[in-house]
Amino acid sequence: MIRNAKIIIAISFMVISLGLILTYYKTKRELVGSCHFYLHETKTLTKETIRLSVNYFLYSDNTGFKTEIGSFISHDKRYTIDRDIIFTYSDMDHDGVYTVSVSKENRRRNDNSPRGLVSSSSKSKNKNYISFNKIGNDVYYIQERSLPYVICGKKAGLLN
Amino acid sequence: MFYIINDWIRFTPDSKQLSSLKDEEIEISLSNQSARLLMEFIQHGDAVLSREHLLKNVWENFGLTPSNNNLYSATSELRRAFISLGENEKLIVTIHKVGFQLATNVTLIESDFIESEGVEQKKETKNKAINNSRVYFIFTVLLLSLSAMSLTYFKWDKKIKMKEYTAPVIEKVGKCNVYALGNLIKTTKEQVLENISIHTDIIDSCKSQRYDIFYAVNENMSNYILIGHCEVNKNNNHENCVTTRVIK
Repeated sequence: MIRNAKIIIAISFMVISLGLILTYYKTKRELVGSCHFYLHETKTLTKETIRLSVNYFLYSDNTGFKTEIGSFISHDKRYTIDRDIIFTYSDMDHDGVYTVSVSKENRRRNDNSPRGLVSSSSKSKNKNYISFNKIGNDVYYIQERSLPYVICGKKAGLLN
Repeated sequence: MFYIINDWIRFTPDSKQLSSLKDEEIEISLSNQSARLLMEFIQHGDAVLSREHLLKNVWENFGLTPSNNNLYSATSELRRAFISLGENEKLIVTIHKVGFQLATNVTLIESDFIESEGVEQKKETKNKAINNSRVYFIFTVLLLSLSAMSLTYFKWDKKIKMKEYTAPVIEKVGKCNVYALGNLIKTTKEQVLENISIHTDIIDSCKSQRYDIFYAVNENMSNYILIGHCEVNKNNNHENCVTTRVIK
């Protein structure tokens, strides 16, 4: 009886420990991906140019943010872009296509770019769908709704 | 086969052992002469046995020299053994000028059935213990496997799923490689190089620095071009990636 009680106590201890460990891992927030790119975007029709330095950070709790610093030139008028965009991402069906939803946009004081400026996948309130491809050592090709979106590297800018 | 003396003392003639049924841990081994003496008492129930009878049947018949000293010594050993087992009453009584008497009841137990039952019971208990151990072992292994799988799942689940994509080299320019991302069916190699030259100045840099240049276009939306280039360092790692997007 005493032996059985000891075994039951040991098993209970193991089950509780397992539960605590799993809870810890499930709720622990850690960086699972980051990359950097410079973006030069030219819209010839509207004569608009965007030049940005972008850092991407993805965390294990399905949140992430990106920093955008650069400029936007429209009809010879120059604007400054300096903001952090906070988003959530998920891949419920595990097909490698992530649904990204912007939850907050923090503009810095010197950011005077027009509202509604679309420089990235996650600017609008709409959901966007992105997938990641590794195309070389520390270099990634990100697609948005199967369209070419950006080439992103590990080392540069803030990530150095 | 064994005898129960006074309802609680067990005597096993084969092993010449006395033991207590109250406490199985207490066991006393008797000498040959004491065991034979006790057996002689048992065989005659509560009859008073004369010294002569005892000396003859316990010693002389076995080729040993009979003596009163041996008799007293064996009787004394038996009394001490009973006391050691916890018996307070005097079971072997001296009858003055006559002899000795085992003044208690003795029961013969044909122990084969009981012992075999005991063995079976022990086997069953042992098997049960082994079965229990197996169940606990399997349960522990399952639990540990489940833990390992859960941890692996949670760790794996947190990683960003990434497809490995080997882009084909479509051209080499100086120290640079130009790769195509996706199929370029309607776009020729010359058009790719022309677009790279028009929209970036990377081709000039290829004379002195190694770059990987990636070209992608959605051929159904020919007004959208993506040109990415990254410096390639000595370790073949990519740095300072620049993406040029042209939307016509």
